[in-house]
Amino acid sequence: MMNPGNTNVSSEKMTERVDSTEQAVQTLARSLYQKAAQHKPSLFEAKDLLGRMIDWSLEDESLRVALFRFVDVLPSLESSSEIGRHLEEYFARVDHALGGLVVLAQALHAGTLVAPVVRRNVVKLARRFIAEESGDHLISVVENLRNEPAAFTLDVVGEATVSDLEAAAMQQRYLDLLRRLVKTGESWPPVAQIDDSPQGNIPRVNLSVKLSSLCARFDPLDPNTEATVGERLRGLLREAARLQAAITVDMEQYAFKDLTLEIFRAVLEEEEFRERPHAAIALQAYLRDAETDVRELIRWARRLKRRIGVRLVKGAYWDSEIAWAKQKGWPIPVYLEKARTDASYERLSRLLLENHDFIDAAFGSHNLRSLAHAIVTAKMLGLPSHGYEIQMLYGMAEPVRQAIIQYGQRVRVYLPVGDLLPGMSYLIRRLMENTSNTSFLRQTYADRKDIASLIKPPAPARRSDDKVAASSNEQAGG
Amino acid sequence: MADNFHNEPPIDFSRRQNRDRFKRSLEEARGQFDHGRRRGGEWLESVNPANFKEIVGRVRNAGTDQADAAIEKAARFFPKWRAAPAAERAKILVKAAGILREKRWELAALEVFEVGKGWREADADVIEAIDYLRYYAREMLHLAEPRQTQSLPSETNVYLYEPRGIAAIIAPWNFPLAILTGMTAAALVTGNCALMKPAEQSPMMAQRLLEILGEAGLPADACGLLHGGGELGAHLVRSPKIHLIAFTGSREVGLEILREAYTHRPGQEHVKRVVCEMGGKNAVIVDSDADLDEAVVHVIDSAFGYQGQKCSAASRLILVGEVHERLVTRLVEAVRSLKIGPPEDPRNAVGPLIEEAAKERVEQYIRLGKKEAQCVLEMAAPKQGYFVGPAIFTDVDPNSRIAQEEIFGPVLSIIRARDFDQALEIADRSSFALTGGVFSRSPAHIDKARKEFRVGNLYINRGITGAVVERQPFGGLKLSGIGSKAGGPDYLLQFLEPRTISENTLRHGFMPPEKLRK
Repeated sequence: MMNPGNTNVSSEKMTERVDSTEQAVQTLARSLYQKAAQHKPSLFEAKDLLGRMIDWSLEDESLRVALFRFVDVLPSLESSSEIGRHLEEYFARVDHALGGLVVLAQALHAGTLVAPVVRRNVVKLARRFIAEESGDHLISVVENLRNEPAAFTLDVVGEATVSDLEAAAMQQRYLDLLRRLVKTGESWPPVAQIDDSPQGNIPRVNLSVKLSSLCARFDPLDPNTEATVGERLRGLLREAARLQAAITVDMEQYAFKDLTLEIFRAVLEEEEFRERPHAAIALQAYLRDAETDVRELIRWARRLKRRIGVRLVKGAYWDSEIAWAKQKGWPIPVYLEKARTDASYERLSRLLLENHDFIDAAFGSHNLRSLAHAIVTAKMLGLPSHGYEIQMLYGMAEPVRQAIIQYGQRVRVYLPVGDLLPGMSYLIRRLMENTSNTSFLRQTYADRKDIASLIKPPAPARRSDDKVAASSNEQAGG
Repeated sequence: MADNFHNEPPIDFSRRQNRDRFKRSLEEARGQFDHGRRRGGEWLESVNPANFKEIVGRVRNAGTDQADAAIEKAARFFPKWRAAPAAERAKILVKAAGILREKRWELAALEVFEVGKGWREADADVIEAIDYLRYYAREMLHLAEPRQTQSLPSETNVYLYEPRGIAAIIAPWNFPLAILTGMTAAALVTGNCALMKPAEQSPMMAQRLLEILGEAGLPADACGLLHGGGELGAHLVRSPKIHLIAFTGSREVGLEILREAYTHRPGQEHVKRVVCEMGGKNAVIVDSDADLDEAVVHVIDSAFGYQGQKCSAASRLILVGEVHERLVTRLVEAVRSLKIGPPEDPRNAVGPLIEEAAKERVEQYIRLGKKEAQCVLEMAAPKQGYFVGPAIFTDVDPNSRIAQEEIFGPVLSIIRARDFDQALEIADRSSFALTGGVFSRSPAHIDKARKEFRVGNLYINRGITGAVVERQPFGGLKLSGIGSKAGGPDYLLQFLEPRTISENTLRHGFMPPEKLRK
């Protein structure tokens, strides 16, 4: 924001600087793009079931819905005939010449094709996005990533936590994973590109935690939530400090946001955690509150004199947030227009980087424009490339990741682990995200939009976005 | 003015300032408790069911003489009220909605103490009351316009609605503001005079409603408030000068009201109209392909929200196939994680039952359940109030008493079904048919449920309580009720009588031009 007291001269200088920054962003984005565009991400190249699913879902909205709903229900289906019945029920009503699928469904129903084939395919599909927790799969995925080199943060996927029993089991799962990975990691050779920061070595094992998984029901109204979750989080932080691992608190739906931030701050303020472990929290740029929250978090870290990591993401609950707000008649908490989210992301990137003396910024995005903006801004502020990091999801946008790694940045891959079938809701969210028509990946690799339009600065068109969200029930676009 | 209806949004408790404000409202409400000495038989005491040492307030019971006097007063005022323009009456409702909105915090806080509701549920009751006022105001504006049935050159034919007369409003304690307000607002806005007879357990909420209606400009004689028990209710129902009875409550009382109301009595020049909502024994079916993360949470809310004291509550859970194995443990453990205690403390998800008799009844059913089925969860509860911990039974025979009788408490009966068809058949095996739910991801099963799961309000892949005015008009079939749905487009018609007026406009070949024919 420009200071209204500025003289003409300084605001001209400001404009110049903005222009040169913009030019640098475009140049970097373009060069990264040219590298990345040489290969398709596996998501858009797959010749198997995944590839066909993605193709179909790009083609036809009703098919996309049927497909995602089918993948959503699949884990709960136990027999071939059940799978066949659901296939038929979902795809018979799709207005699309899907010869292959209908034949598939009929074959399943008749018992000539066995359901395990379908399940196996979907499990294979899930494996591209989710590492299997048991066995060696997880370790091999992690070690392959380190060879790229890319760091990782683990995200445990599974059923929602609905009881104290499950919450306690979840905490145990987190602890086991931490211990297992740290132990395995003792043999890993150090890799400067991903293990170093201006403050020294950073933990190789990084665990992302959803606070709602640590109690029976995460409810801001219930004071017990704060107490229970706080206690379980303490357990994790303590172990992470002992093992020199890092904990990142994920951000979930808007209704959980304030309490998530409160718990995070309250626990880290305690004497025991004033210095260790490495702790970070995710913040979502699509929220109208985002800037306030970022500023508050920065103020807090300064007051505490404690380094805090912030993972800046755009946010993955966009459709749900709008649906929930409309159901309740509450103001819509997210920007309706994608460009406003993108603009917010750039504004907040700068803010985080400007405060690098207390904030370890991590930029979670697959959008080359957004990432180039963060990288250029960091450079302009005089930050070394290991003074912050880029984060991306496992199984997505590998060419983008490679381009950024080659550029010399520290990249951390957000890696879901767990049983493949219960992890399906995670998978659905990712598929939704990447086949939605505002997705950078889709626009780049499927729609083949021209580069200039992909990397242009975000320009929100609708000035009245705020008013719309607060007062009307109009269908949200974007 | 009343033309734009929207539902009043609930309080967003994820915001700290809202939680703080509610806490302050509770303190203020407690500050107004009645600390005086008990004053004998003619006084009706409102007791905090979470702590029966606390008297929330007291009111005077009305005797039958007072009831008759109130009926007389209403009867004298009725012609005036009937003649008042509908827009004027609607305006009073909208004004009352505005006042309710201003006072929503204190009203919800009072409700927490008077009937033992949690914060969210108490707030939901207040906003539902606001919705009824606004919605019925708007609906009346539409109904108030006389309609031309057919347009002929020689004749005008007009169809119009008029109020019936004096309405007795007999309301329950479980939604002490919303249901009382809904039934009363419907009676008043249509031009009837109303006499409210709220439940004995929630007199203070009724008291507040009467004040608010007065503040909104309702003439005092249009609406009276009579406190008392079953005898007072029976007296109103039998009175030959009452035209309409709007009742929400138990089946036993409902059927009794119907019998009494349809008995003609000397001096009675009309047939009474009864609008009657009675209980439920509502089933939720969880299909073998259901999303259990969703099902567990919604079943818990539906079965144990407000301790199961809702006519819409889930009391039968029908599990298809092997979903039983996957669901029961998760469900039981999730319920076991709920805290039981006074609902003024928001960490308690399970509050008290409304009164001693309710506690005894529910405990009796739990004892019976142990004979009829397998008890897989029983929880200890505090002794200071009327608390009963949630109970869950498995292997319940669909014909057994705990699967057939309305318990009105935190008791859930789990029944196994071989397949989805059998689940539907079991769900239908009840003389109630108020709400019902299905969790399924099979498009064919969902279709089938739409057609064959014949309950008043069917909910698919969501909880089965918490109907929203206009969005989900609410009311049951079978022995769950007669009359059409509260918060729906047909509701007000029950409070009205249609009249048809035809006038021959042809006089010796001379007709007024069309625009002057009315």
